[in-house]
Amino acid sequence: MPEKAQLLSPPDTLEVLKELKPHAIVFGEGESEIHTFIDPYCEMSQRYLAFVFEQQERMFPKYKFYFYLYELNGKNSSHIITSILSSEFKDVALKSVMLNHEDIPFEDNGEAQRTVHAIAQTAIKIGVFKRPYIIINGKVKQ
Amino acid sequence: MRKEQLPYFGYLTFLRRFRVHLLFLMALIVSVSTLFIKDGFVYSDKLLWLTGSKEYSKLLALKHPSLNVEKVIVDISSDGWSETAIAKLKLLQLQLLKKEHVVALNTLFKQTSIFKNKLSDTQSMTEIISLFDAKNSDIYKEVLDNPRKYKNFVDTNKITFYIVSDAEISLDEFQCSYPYERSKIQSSAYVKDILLFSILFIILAASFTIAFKSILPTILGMIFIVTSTFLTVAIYQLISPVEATHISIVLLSVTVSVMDFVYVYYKWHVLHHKVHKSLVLYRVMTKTIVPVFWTTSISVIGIGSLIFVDSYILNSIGLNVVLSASMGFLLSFSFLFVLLSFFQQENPQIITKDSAKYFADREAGYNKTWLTLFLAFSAIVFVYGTFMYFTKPMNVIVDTSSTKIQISLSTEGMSTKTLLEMQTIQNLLNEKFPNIDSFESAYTEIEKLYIQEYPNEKFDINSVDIESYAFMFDLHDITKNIMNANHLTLSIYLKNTNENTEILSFLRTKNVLIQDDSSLLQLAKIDSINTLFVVVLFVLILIMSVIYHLTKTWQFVWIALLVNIIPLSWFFATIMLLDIPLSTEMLVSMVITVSLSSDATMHFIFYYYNNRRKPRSSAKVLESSFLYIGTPLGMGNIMLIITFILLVFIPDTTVSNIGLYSSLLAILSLFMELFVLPVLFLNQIKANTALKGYYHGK
Repeated sequence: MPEKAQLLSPPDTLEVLKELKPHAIVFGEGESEIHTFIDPYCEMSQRYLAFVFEQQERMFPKYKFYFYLYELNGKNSSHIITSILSSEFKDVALKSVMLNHEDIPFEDNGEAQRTVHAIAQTAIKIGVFKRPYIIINGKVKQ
Repeated sequence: MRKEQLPYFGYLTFLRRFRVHLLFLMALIVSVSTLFIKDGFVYSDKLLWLTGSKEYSKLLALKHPSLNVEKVIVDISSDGWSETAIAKLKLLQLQLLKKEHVVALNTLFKQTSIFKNKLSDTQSMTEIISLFDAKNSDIYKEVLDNPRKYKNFVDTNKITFYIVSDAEISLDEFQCSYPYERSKIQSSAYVKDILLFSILFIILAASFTIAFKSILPTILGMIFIVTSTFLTVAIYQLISPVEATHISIVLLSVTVSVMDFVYVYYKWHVLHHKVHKSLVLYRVMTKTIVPVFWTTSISVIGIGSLIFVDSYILNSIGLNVVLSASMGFLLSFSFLFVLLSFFQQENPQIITKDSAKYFADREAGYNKTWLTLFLAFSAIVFVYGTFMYFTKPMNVIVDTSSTKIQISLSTEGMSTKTLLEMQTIQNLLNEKFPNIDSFESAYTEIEKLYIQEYPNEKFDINSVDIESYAFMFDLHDITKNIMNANHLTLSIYLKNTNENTEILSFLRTKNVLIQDDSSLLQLAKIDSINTLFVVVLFVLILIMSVIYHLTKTWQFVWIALLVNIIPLSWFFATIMLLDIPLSTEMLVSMVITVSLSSDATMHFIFYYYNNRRKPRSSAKVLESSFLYIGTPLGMGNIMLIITFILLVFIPDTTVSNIGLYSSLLAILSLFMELFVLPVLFLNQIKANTALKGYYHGK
């Protein structure tokens, strides 16, 4: 069981997240960056995403959301994560699975595993222990 | 001198010769002006007050809307505090939220709390929930367990909703199963128009018929007053930059034209007694045109100076007086003379003949001690009023039920800096004003949520992760309750409105934007009070200057000043003594009264001065002045007093207040004109042998 604390300082967290950004599914074009580790099958992550999309008209101009798909133990979501990350339209796939609870066909473009690995490495460094793991200004929102 | 060479004679001949043409021309002008008259009059003067006012301009500069904060109290007595009541109130809340123009709601259901939504150790999220999202049974219990926490919204069976909107909203279409009270009661403008014009018509028509025992003045008076008011309003609407036509414009125009008509008609009526009918109109013209010209000039220059003030309401009062007075003067000596030229008066009756003699005899034998005592007491009243004006804060309550003030910071964004600013303002307000009940702001929200989240830690805004809270507020859609156009807002809930003016005056000294209409209106009125006082002072100085110009006698100047200032001092001191909240309707009434009483003073003094060399006894001088001046002024004033008293019953605060205060002031002013001015004349002029060029005999 991972330790229930953020292992890196906020500046260091931001530093490692900078490198992880290309692996994120991004929504919004605001100035404030919100980084979140989610599992597509985690009910709390789904609830969080629903909140974000309910308020998207106001949220997306103000914030830029970086979503990192990171499997939660016991959720068996590795297949769906690979499929979403392999999809040409990752954002649409993510919404279909998490908001509409739709199944999408399995897909693996070979790149997805590298992304999964990169996200996992960074998550371990930061100390991501729960989903959704929301980071604002380099600091986790408990 | 041949009569054709007399001044005004040629003009009167012209009026007589072309009277039919002139009547047609007048009818044509009135018909054309109907094209410019816009339907309906405005009873609410909110926008007129706000436009041009300092605090409102600050909001406009930042492109902020001013906000309408309405307090709606729902009475749930039929169900009492219960889950049924909660369900019905939730339905009302939902309807209000969907209503266009509603910016935010401050209600019981908007009260938030933080909680950790947790499925397991690895699946959790901190959420902010509002009471609305909670189960009815939980809300029921929560409010019963924490009555103090919700005291602003729940008071046994009274549930308060504060609706913040960027425009006036109507609640008619809401299906609220409980009775409710609104802070801003609006009744139909159409009903008010009908009521107002019916009162004006009935009272004036009845007064003319009774006063002159004839139907002729009623017909002529109505034609004259309607024409004058109609043209004044049409020209006002044509040239005024202010779109709305406030109802006071009509009232002022009617007031001016009633006085003009009564004065000219009465003169025409009584002169049939002793002058040949072919010369009556000429004599009316020579006897009335000079004093009427000067009283018109005083109104136009004195009160008309308001058009230079950078406030829509004062500007429109100024323009209104200029137009009403000028139109009254112009039509009195053209249209009214044309109308009168068609008629003659057989056996004119002077209904005040006996009363004039009675009062003249009484006043001629006045007791000097009583006069001195009255003046000395009035001097004390004046000093008291002046002292209070400079020392006591103005109490200008717009709406005694508006117990919420809404402000916002002028600096943008939610950051540690702006929250510290908010904290400072809240602390200062709390220290200075015990009347403040509670606050609602981003600061109080964060403090509340932080304490729930970290019950063992001391709350210090400097160490709080503000961005995280800001994000949470956005995520849960509660930012609109604590921010407006990216500026943090502060709702200040008051126990009552006693310190309202002081709180607003204090807030002005801070770098904040006052947002709610009620407070903005109050501040605009406070600012206008000083301007209106200066105008009243200016009018008094003008009256004195004109009197000196006409009589070259200082005694007349002092008499004019005393007669005009005493009613105002008494009125103002009474307001201060009884601590009646000072409203601008009072000041508008003061302006109307000053113009009425200056009119009377001018006519009386002009009469006394013109007859200064006539060898008459004191009683005879007064009797004649009562017959020729006192009677029309008394008639006009009494008609206006009755009309103003009846305006009190119009279901509109502005009109009824103007009616109440104007009638009180007009009574005081009439008392001064009929009972004090003549005595002062006897005391200062008639008995003062040092004055040369006057008959001082018995």
